Amino acid sequence: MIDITSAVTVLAMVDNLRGQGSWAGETHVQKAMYFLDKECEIQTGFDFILYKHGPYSFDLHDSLNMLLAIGLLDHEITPPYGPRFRLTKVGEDFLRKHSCKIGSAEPSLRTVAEWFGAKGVADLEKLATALWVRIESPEEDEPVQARRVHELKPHISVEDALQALSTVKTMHS
Amino acid sequence: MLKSSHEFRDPLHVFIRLDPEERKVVDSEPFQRLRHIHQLAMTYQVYPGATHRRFEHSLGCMELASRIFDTITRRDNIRKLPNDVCYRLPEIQEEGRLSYWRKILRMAALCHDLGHLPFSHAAEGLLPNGISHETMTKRFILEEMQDIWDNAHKPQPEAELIAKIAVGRKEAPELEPFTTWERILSEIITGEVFGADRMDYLLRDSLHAGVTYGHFDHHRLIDTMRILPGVAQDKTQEYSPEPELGIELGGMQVAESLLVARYLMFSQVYFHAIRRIYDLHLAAFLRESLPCGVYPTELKDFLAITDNEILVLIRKAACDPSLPGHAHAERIYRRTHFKKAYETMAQDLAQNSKVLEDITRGLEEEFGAENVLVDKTAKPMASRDDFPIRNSNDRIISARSQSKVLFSLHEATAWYLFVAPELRDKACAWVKNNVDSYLKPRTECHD
Repeated sequence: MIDITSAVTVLAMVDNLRGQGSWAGETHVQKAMYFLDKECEIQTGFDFILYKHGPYSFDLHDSLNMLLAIGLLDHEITPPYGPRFRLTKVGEDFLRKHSCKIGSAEPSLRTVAEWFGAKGVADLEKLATALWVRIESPEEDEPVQARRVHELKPHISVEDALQALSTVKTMHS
Repeated sequence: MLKSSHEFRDPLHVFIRLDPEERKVVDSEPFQRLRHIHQLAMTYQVYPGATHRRFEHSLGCMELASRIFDTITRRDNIRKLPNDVCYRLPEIQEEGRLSYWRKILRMAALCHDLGHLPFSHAAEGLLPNGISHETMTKRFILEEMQDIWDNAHKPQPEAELIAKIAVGRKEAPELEPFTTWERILSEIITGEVFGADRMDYLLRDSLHAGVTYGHFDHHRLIDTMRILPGVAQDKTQEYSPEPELGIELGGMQVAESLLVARYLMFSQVYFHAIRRIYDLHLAAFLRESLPCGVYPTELKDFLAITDNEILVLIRKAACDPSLPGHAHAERIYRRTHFKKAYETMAQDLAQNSKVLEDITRGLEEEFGAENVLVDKTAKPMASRDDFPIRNSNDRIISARSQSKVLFSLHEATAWYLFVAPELRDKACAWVKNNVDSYLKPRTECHD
């Protein structure tokens, strides 16, 4: 069962992403929450593994489904694309009522949404995988990390991986 | 001379054939143990035909997994994959290597249930914290079966690969990373819409229980299964280059019928109130009679306990009031199980989300806690994951955009209150007289 703080954080992330023009599908929410957790060091309580489009949390996946099931989130269907999340009226009320639970995470939520709002999934995969590798081997220099990104995701070229690592570094600073 | 092929006659798939190495797996002690683990626990007390075991289900799972594999790797079925998708699946380009992957998949499907406890899911809560039947399955594959893998013909199957594919990514985070191909292979077994495990248990449980709720046209479903590009995640993509298991458009209705079949099987068979109360009595009996109330997890000790040993324990305890678990053993053995006094309906929950807890408290105060058992189990029925469908224009579309059925099925619930049979009439009358007052939230009681 998802707790209120996690629910509010996920809802706020969806809301912020949409506010920044993001598609706000599951991949977008997954990567944004990963950055919130690892880059902004806001404890989301979700465990991430490296999955289809980079870091992914099964717990977050289950929580999103739970929020759909209890009517706080809804899917906006735009064939043939994957669904977009949006807050329902009940979800908006819930978020307003419990917004105090977000506390100090609010600026970080806004920042992550600004970073990712205009980005497509291919970019999100590169950035999130680059962050994954930076965390996995912080002592390595960037060319080594870029080769590791390429090794984990062979469709990401070493050049693109280098650029993603550099972007992540900029975000960090 | 050693036979090159062995066959089992199966009530569902007719003939299931095995090669000599697979036969060694079947002959192993962990696999033979599955002959003595009922697939549906004590469901046979309600549906007398449901006495089938994990043994035949595991064979069936292997058979269906192989059929899926053969369909999705057929040359003309992968010919249409775009280059950037093929790039992520180098394994399917090497035709000579496909037979190796097929072997791994079949071994994994055979082994996927090795770690089941006696009576399957009924008392899984008695495993120590952090250990599930999947944990035990992995241990059997990685430890107990190692000799079989080591002595297999080259290329030898890797134990770690078999374990990964048998239990899937969610249950094997310590075996990361999974390649895209390994993920797809594990989904062939464990997938929630197309998984061979799910397909086989629905069809088999339905057949043996003597009901038709679990039927769906699995031949058609498997025939339409494909490896496809993923659904476009947003407008920056035409499709996602990450390959997924999906279906041709013509398979959508049968995919829907599988999920409906599952919903019906849960509501009519798996969550049948009498079946559930046997599970509760069984778990309570084991909690009292096993040392420290937990299952052993040493492989040797684990292997030594099957349904047979538990049934003997139940019979002994039922006949001897001095033995631990006597009361629950007697309820099972003499079929004097607790009876349903209340079932939570959706409209009750809409009025008071804690109605089950509130009525439980009321019944316990009135009749004594020892005379009340509560069951609160729910299972999501809708598909949790989107998947790609290829339409007649070769366009990849989202299943979620095509099917309301797949994603809107209600969860199946078993929210029951049971009471000792001698109190049933009084308890039912009490519930009837008091239920309305419990349909208002009693928040003051919780403080």
